[in-house]
Amino acid sequence: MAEVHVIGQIVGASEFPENDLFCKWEAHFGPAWKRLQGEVSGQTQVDCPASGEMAYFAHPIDLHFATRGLQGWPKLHFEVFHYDWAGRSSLVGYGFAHVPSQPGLHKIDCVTWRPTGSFMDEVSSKFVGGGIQLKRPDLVYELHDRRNVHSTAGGKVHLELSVILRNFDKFGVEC
Amino acid sequence: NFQAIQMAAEAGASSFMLNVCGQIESVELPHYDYIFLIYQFVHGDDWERVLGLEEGVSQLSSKSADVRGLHAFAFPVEVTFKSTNPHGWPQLVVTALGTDIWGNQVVRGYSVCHLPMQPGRVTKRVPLFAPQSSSLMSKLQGLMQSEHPLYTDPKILGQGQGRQVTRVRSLGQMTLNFSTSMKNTRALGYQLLPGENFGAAAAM
Repeated sequence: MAEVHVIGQIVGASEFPENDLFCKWEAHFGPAWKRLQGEVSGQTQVDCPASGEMAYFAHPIDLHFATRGLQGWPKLHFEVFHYDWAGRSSLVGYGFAHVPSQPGLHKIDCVTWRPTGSFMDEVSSKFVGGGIQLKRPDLVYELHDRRNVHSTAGGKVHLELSVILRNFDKFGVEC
Repeated sequence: NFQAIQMAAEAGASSFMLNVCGQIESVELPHYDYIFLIYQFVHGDDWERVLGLEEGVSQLSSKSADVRGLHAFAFPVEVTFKSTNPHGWPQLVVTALGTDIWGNQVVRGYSVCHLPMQPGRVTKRVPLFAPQSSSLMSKLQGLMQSEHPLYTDPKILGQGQGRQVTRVRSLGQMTLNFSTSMKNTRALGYQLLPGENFGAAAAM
Protein backbone atom coordinates (compact mmCIF):
# COMPACT_ATOMS: atom_id res chain seq x y z
CA MET A 1 0.00 0.00 0.00
CA ALA A 2 1.23 3.43 -0.82
CA GLU A 3 1.13 5.90 2.05
CA VAL A 4 1.10 9.68 2.27
CA HIS A 5 1.93 11.81 5.31
CA VAL A 6 0.88 15.45 5.34
CA ILE A 7 2.43 17.24 8.30
CA GLY A 8 2.62 20.96 8.96
CA GLN A 9 0.64 23.98 10.09
CA ILE A 10 -2.07 26.39 9.11
CA VAL A 11 0.26 29.31 9.76
CA GLY A 12 -2.23 32.16 9.56
CA ALA A 13 -4.31 34.41 7.36
CA SER A 14 -3.72 37.88 5.91
CA GLU A 15 -5.13 40.52 3.58
CA PHE A 16 -8.63 40.31 5.02
CA PRO A 17 -10.56 43.52 5.77
CA GLU A 18 -10.39 42.70 9.50
CA ASN A 19 -7.45 41.14 11.36
CA ASP A 20 -9.22 39.34 14.25
CA LEU A 21 -9.70 35.96 12.63
CA PHE A 22 -10.04 32.22 13.11
CA CYS A 23 -10.27 29.40 10.62
CA LYS A 24 -12.17 26.13 10.33
CA TRP A 25 -10.63 23.43 8.18
CA GLU A 26 -11.52 20.01 6.84
CA ALA A 27 -9.75 17.39 4.74
CA HIS A 28 -11.58 15.66 1.86
CA PHE A 29 -10.37 12.71 -0.19
CA GLY A 30 -11.66 10.14 -2.69
CA PRO A 31 -12.80 6.55 -2.00
CA ALA A 32 -9.43 5.03 -2.93
CA TRP A 33 -7.92 6.84 0.07
CA LYS A 34 -8.13 5.72 3.66
CA ARG A 35 -7.27 7.93 6.62
CA LEU A 36 -5.05 5.92 8.98
CA GLN A 37 -4.17 8.55 11.57
CA GLY A 38 -4.79 12.21 12.31
CA GLU A 39 -7.73 14.56 12.71
CA VAL A 40 -9.55 15.40 9.49
CA SER A 41 -11.07 18.66 10.69
CA GLY A 42 -10.62 21.32 13.26
CA GLN A 43 -10.92 24.93 14.24
CA THR A 44 -8.01 27.20 15.05
CA GLN A 45 -7.44 29.67 17.87
CA VAL A 46 -8.76 33.20 17.42
CA ASP A 47 -5.90 35.63 16.92
CA CYS A 48 -6.31 39.36 17.50
CA PRO A 49 -2.87 40.56 16.38
CA ALA A 50 -1.13 43.33 18.33
CA SER A 51 0.20 44.84 15.14
CA GLY A 52 0.41 44.07 11.48
CA GLU A 53 -2.00 42.46 9.11
CA MET A 54 -1.41 38.79 9.70
CA ALA A 55 -3.49 36.70 12.09
CA TYR A 56 -1.46 33.70 13.29
CA PHE A 57 -3.08 30.32 13.96
CA ALA A 58 -0.03 27.99 14.32
CA HIS A 59 -2.49 25.10 13.99
CA PRO A 60 -0.90 21.66 13.49
CA ILE A 61 -2.01 19.28 10.76
CA ASP A 62 -0.71 15.69 10.85
CA LEU A 63 -2.53 13.29 8.53
CA HIS A 64 -1.52 9.77 7.52
CA PHE A 65 -3.24 8.19 4.50
CA ALA A 66 -3.04 4.86 2.71
CA THR A 67 -4.09 4.80 -0.93
CA ARG A 68 -4.80 2.42 -3.78
CA GLY A 69 -4.98 5.06 -6.49
CA LEU A 70 -4.20 8.62 -7.48
CA GLN A 71 -7.83 9.69 -7.97
CA GLY A 72 -9.34 11.74 -5.18
CA TRP A 73 -6.02 13.16 -4.03
CA PRO A 74 -6.67 14.83 -0.63
CA LYS A 75 -7.57 18.47 -0.39
CA LEU A 76 -7.96 20.80 2.56
CA HIS A 77 -10.83 23.23 2.66
CA PHE A 78 -10.92 26.40 4.77
CA GLU A 79 -13.54 28.79 6.12
CA VAL A 80 -12.13 31.99 7.60
CA PHE A 81 -14.22 33.90 10.11
CA HIS A 82 -13.87 37.34 11.61
CA TYR A 83 -14.34 37.45 15.40
CA ASP A 84 -15.68 40.86 16.32
CA TRP A 85 -15.54 42.90 19.54
CA ALA A 86 -18.89 41.46 20.66
CA GLY A 87 -17.75 37.86 20.19
CA ARG A 88 -19.80 37.23 17.04
CA SER A 89 -18.32 35.43 14.05
CA SER A 90 -18.95 36.27 10.42
CA LEU A 91 -17.64 34.41 7.43
CA VAL A 92 -15.03 36.33 5.46
CA GLY A 93 -13.59 33.73 3.10
CA TYR A 94 -13.86 30.24 1.64
CA GLY A 95 -10.87 28.55 0.05
CA PHE A 96 -9.28 25.18 -0.58
CA ALA A 97 -5.88 23.74 -1.44
CA HIS A 98 -4.85 20.34 -2.74
CA VAL A 99 -2.26 18.57 -0.64
CA PRO A 100 0.88 18.79 -2.81
CA SER A 101 1.76 15.57 -4.58
CA GLN A 102 5.49 16.26 -4.50
CA PRO A 103 7.40 15.25 -1.36
CA GLY A 104 9.16 18.02 0.55
CA LEU A 105 8.34 21.31 2.21
CA HIS A 106 5.67 23.53 0.62
CA LYS A 107 4.64 27.06 1.54
CA ILE A 108 1.17 27.54 0.15
CA ASP A 109 -0.90 30.71 -0.09
CA CYS A 110 -4.52 29.74 -0.48
CA VAL A 111 -6.78 32.43 -1.97
CA THR A 112 -10.27 32.84 -0.54
CA TRP A 113 -13.54 34.35 -1.68
CA ARG A 114 -16.79 35.16 0.02
CA PRO A 115 -20.26 35.09 -1.48
CA THR A 116 -21.70 38.50 -2.33
CA GLY A 117 -25.37 39.08 -1.67
CA SER A 118 -27.67 41.72 -3.05
CA PHE A 119 -27.14 45.38 -2.16
CA MET A 120 -29.61 45.08 0.75
CA ASP A 121 -27.82 41.94 2.03
CA GLU A 122 -24.49 43.73 2.07
CA VAL A 123 -25.90 46.78 3.87
CA SER A 124 -27.70 44.76 6.53
CA SER A 125 -24.64 42.56 7.02
CA LYS A 126 -22.63 45.69 7.82
CA PHE A 127 -25.08 46.78 10.52
CA VAL A 128 -26.38 43.52 11.94
CA GLY A 129 -23.20 41.48 11.48
CA GLY A 130 -22.89 37.94 10.26
CA GLY A 131 -21.45 37.35 6.80
CA ILE A 132 -23.35 35.73 3.95
CA GLN A 133 -22.68 31.99 3.81
CA LEU A 134 -23.14 29.22 1.28
CA LYS A 135 -25.97 26.79 1.90
CA ARG A 136 -23.81 23.96 0.60
CA PRO A 137 -20.17 24.46 1.62
CA ASP A 138 -19.00 21.59 -0.61
CA LEU A 139 -19.30 23.99 -3.51
CA VAL A 140 -15.92 25.32 -2.36
CA TYR A 141 -13.95 22.16 -3.06
CA GLU A 142 -16.06 19.90 -5.31
CA LEU A 143 -16.30 20.04 -9.10
CA HIS A 144 -19.79 21.56 -9.12
CA ASP A 145 -21.26 24.08 -11.48
CA ARG A 146 -20.82 27.48 -9.83
CA ARG A 147 -22.51 29.67 -12.38
CA ASN A 148 -25.14 31.04 -9.98
CA VAL A 149 -22.64 32.15 -7.36
CA HIS A 150 -21.42 35.75 -7.24
CA SER A 151 -18.33 36.22 -5.11
CA THR A 152 -15.88 38.83 -3.87
CA ALA A 153 -12.21 38.21 -3.12
CA GLY A 154 -11.16 37.59 0.46
CA GLY A 155 -7.63 37.40 1.83
CA LYS A 156 -5.18 34.47 1.91
CA VAL A 157 -4.71 31.48 4.18
CA HIS A 158 -1.03 30.55 4.61
CA LEU A 159 0.00 26.93 4.99
CA GLU A 160 3.34 25.29 5.54
CA LEU A 161 3.03 21.58 4.74
CA SER A 162 5.59 18.81 4.34
CA VAL A 163 4.62 15.77 2.32
CA ILE A 164 6.25 12.37 2.85
CA LEU A 165 5.45 9.56 0.42
CA ARG A 166 5.99 5.87 1.03
CA ASN A 167 6.22 3.09 -1.53
CA PHE A 168 5.05 5.26 -4.42
CA ASP A 169 8.08 4.20 -6.43
CA LYS A 170 7.23 0.51 -5.91
CA PHE A 171 3.97 1.15 -7.76
CA GLY A 172 5.74 3.02 -10.52
CA VAL A 173 4.29 6.40 -9.59
CA GLU A 174 6.45 9.46 -10.00
CA CYS A 175 5.71 12.50 -7.85
CA ASN B 1 23.68 3.68 -2.99
CA PHE B 2 21.09 1.05 -3.76
CA GLN B 3 22.97 -1.94 -2.42
CA ALA B 4 23.30 -0.37 1.02
CA ILE B 5 19.62 0.53 1.08
CA GLN B 6 18.63 -2.98 0.06
CA MET B 7 20.88 -4.48 2.73
CA ALA B 8 19.41 -2.27 5.42
CA ALA B 9 15.90 -3.17 4.30
CA GLU B 10 16.71 -6.87 4.39
CA ALA B 11 18.34 -6.51 7.80
CA GLY B 12 14.85 -5.61 8.98
CA ALA B 13 15.37 -1.99 9.94
CA SER B 14 12.02 -1.11 11.37
CA SER B 15 12.72 2.32 12.80
CA PHE B 16 14.33 5.48 11.52
CA MET B 17 16.20 8.24 13.32
CA LEU B 18 15.89 11.99 13.15
CA ASN B 19 18.79 14.16 14.26
CA VAL B 20 18.32 17.91 14.60
CA CYS B 21 20.97 20.45 15.65
CA GLY B 22 20.15 24.08 15.70
CA GLN B 23 19.50 27.10 17.83
CA ILE B 24 16.90 29.60 18.84
CA GLU B 25 18.68 32.63 17.42
CA SER B 26 16.62 35.59 18.58
CA VAL B 27 13.23 36.89 19.61
CA GLU B 28 11.52 40.13 18.62
CA LEU B 29 9.19 41.08 21.45
CA PRO B 30 9.57 44.85 21.52
CA HIS B 31 7.05 45.33 24.36
CA TYR B 32 9.11 43.50 26.95
CA ASP B 33 12.57 44.11 28.31
CA TYR B 34 13.49 40.95 30.27
CA ILE B 35 12.72 37.62 28.65
CA PHE B 36 13.89 34.02 29.05
CA LEU B 37 12.78 30.96 27.13
CA ILE B 38 11.84 27.40 28.00
CA TYR B 39 11.55 24.83 25.19
CA GLN B 40 9.90 21.40 25.17
CA PHE B 41 9.16 18.77 22.54
CA VAL B 42 5.72 17.38 21.70
CA HIS B 43 5.57 14.19 19.69
CA GLY B 44 3.39 11.16 18.92
CA ASP B 45 3.42 7.81 20.70
CA ASP B 46 5.56 6.16 18.03
CA TRP B 47 8.42 8.56 18.76
CA GLU B 48 11.09 8.28 21.40
CA ARG B 49 13.67 10.91 22.28
CA VAL B 50 17.02 9.14 22.51
CA LEU B 51 19.35 12.09 23.01
CA GLY B 52 18.81 15.67 24.07
CA LEU B 53 17.05 17.54 26.86
CA GLU B 54 13.40 17.08 27.69
CA GLU B 55 13.24 20.76 28.61
CA GLY B 56 15.73 23.54 27.93
CA VAL B 57 15.96 26.84 29.84
CA SER B 58 17.73 29.81 28.29
CA GLN B 59 19.58 32.77 29.75
CA LEU B 60 17.71 35.93 30.75
CA SER B 61 17.89 38.49 27.97
CA SER B 62 17.56 42.26 28.00
CA LYS B 63 16.44 43.80 24.78
CA SER B 64 19.14 45.60 22.82
CA ALA B 65 19.34 49.34 23.38
CA ASP B 66 19.46 50.08 19.67
CA VAL B 67 16.60 50.54 17.23
CA ARG B 68 16.27 46.74 16.73
CA GLY B 69 15.04 46.16 20.31
CA LEU B 70 16.18 42.56 19.85
CA HIS B 71 16.52 39.68 22.33
CA ALA B 72 19.42 37.54 21.08
CA PHE B 73 19.73 34.09 22.63
CA ALA B 74 21.80 31.80 20.36
CA PHE B 75 20.31 29.01 22.50
CA PRO B 76 21.28 25.53 21.27
CA VAL B 77 18.64 22.93 20.49
CA GLU B 78 20.07 19.45 19.84
CA VAL B 79 17.95 16.34 19.83
CA THR B 80 17.79 12.85 18.35
CA PHE B 81 14.56 10.92 17.98
CA LYS B 82 13.82 7.35 16.99
CA SER B 83 10.48 6.40 15.42
CA THR B 84 8.58 3.80 13.44
CA ASN B 85 6.12 6.27 11.89
CA PRO B 86 6.27 9.88 10.63
CA HIS B 87 2.87 10.54 12.23
CA GLY B 88 3.39 12.59 15.38
CA TRP B 89 6.54 14.25 13.99
CA PRO B 90 8.09 16.22 16.86
CA GLN B 91 7.24 19.84 17.41
CA LEU B 92 9.22 22.40 19.39
CA VAL B 93 7.08 24.41 21.81
CA VAL B 94 8.75 27.50 23.25
CA THR B 95 7.43 29.55 26.16
CA ALA B 96 8.78 33.09 26.54
CA LEU B 97 8.66 34.27 30.15
CA GLY B 98 9.30 37.57 31.84
CA THR B 99 8.63 39.30 35.13
CA ASP B 100 5.95 41.86 35.80
CA ILE B 101 6.39 45.00 37.94
CA TRP B 102 5.66 43.07 41.12
CA GLY B 103 8.37 40.54 40.38
CA ASN B 104 6.11 37.63 39.47
CA GLN B 105 6.99 35.35 36.58
CA VAL B 106 4.55 35.79 33.72
CA VAL B 107 4.17 34.23 30.30
CA ARG B 108 4.87 36.73 27.53
CA GLY B 109 4.26 34.43 24.56
CA TYR B 110 4.32 30.94 23.08
CA SER B 111 5.47 29.56 19.75
CA VAL B 112 5.17 26.15 18.15
CA CYS B 113 6.75 24.67 15.04
CA HIS B 114 7.54 21.23 13.64
CA LEU B 115 11.13 20.03 13.49
CA PRO B 116 12.15 19.88 9.83
CA MET B 117 10.94 16.93 7.76
CA GLN B 118 13.68 17.12 5.17
CA PRO B 119 17.44 16.81 5.62
CA GLY B 120 19.32 20.05 5.20
CA ARG B 121 19.65 23.45 6.84
CA VAL B 122 16.76 25.79 7.28
CA THR B 123 16.06 29.12 9.00
CA LYS B 124 12.54 29.64 10.32
CA ARG B 125 10.63 32.65 11.56
CA VAL B 126 7.82 31.64 13.87
CA PRO B 127 5.19 33.91 15.46
CA LEU B 128 4.82 34.36 19.22
CA PHE B 129 1.36 34.71 20.69
CA ALA B 130 -0.07 35.10 24.19
CA PRO B 131 -3.46 33.79 25.36
CA GLN B 132 -6.03 36.45 26.21
CA SER B 133 -8.64 36.53 28.94
CA SER B 134 -12.02 35.38 27.77
CA SER B 135 -13.83 38.44 29.08
CA LEU B 136 -13.17 42.03 30.01
CA MET B 137 -13.95 41.29 33.68
CA SER B 138 -11.42 38.53 33.97
CA LYS B 139 -8.88 40.70 32.18
CA LEU B 140 -9.29 43.54 34.69
CA GLN B 141 -9.22 41.12 37.58
CA GLY B 142 -6.10 39.56 36.18
CA LEU B 143 -4.37 42.92 35.89
CA MET B 144 -5.15 43.77 39.49
CA GLN B 145 -4.07 40.43 40.90
CA SER B 146 -1.15 40.16 38.51
CA GLU B 147 -2.40 36.92 37.02
CA HIS B 148 -1.90 36.60 33.31
CA PRO B 149 -3.59 33.92 31.23
CA LEU B 150 -1.36 30.98 30.40
CA TYR B 151 -1.68 27.40 29.18
CA THR B 152 -1.56 24.93 32.07
CA ASP B 153 0.39 22.66 29.75
CA PRO B 154 2.08 24.35 26.76
CA LYS B 155 2.11 20.97 25.01
CA ILE B 156 -1.50 21.61 24.05
CA LEU B 157 -0.06 23.75 21.26
CA GLY B 158 1.15 20.56 19.61
CA GLN B 159 -2.39 19.47 18.90
CA GLY B 160 -5.39 20.79 17.05
CA GLN B 161 -8.02 19.64 19.54
CA GLY B 162 -9.18 22.20 22.04
CA ARG B 163 -7.61 25.18 20.31
CA GLN B 164 -10.94 26.58 19.11
CA VAL B 165 -11.83 27.98 22.50
CA THR B 166 -8.62 29.94 22.89
CA ARG B 167 -8.24 33.58 22.03
CA VAL B 168 -4.70 34.88 21.54
CA ARG B 169 -2.80 38.01 20.65
CA SER B 170 0.17 37.57 18.34
CA LEU B 171 2.89 40.02 19.30
CA GLY B 172 6.35 39.00 18.11
CA GLN B 173 8.57 36.67 16.10
CA MET B 174 11.20 34.06 16.91
CA THR B 175 14.03 33.18 14.53
CA LEU B 176 15.49 29.66 14.67
CA ASN B 177 17.76 27.58 12.51
CA PHE B 178 18.01 23.79 12.23
CA SER B 179 20.36 21.35 10.51
CA THR B 180 18.65 18.03 10.03
CA SER B 181 19.77 14.55 9.09
CA MET B 182 17.91 11.24 9.01
CA LYS B 183 18.86 7.58 9.08
CA ASN B 184 17.00 4.65 7.51
CA THR B 185 14.13 6.67 6.06
CA ARG B 186 15.02 5.47 2.57
CA ALA B 187 15.38 1.86 3.72
CA LEU B 188 11.84 2.03 5.03
CA GLY B 189 10.54 3.33 1.70
CA TYR B 190 9.99 6.96 2.68
CA GLN B 191 10.50 9.69 0.11
CA LEU B 192 11.16 13.00 1.83
CA LEU B 193 12.43 15.08 -1.06
CA PRO B 194 11.40 15.49 -4.68
CA GLY B 195 13.35 13.69 -7.37
CA GLU B 196 14.31 10.60 -5.36
CA ASN B 197 13.30 7.56 -7.34
CA PHE B 198 15.37 4.77 -5.96
CA GLY B 199 12.85 2.01 -5.36
CA ALA B 200 12.65 0.83 -8.96
CA ALA B 201 16.42 0.36 -9.12
CA ALA B 202 16.57 -1.33 -5.70
CA ALA B 203 14.01 -3.90 -6.87
CA MET B 204 16.33 -5.06 -9.67
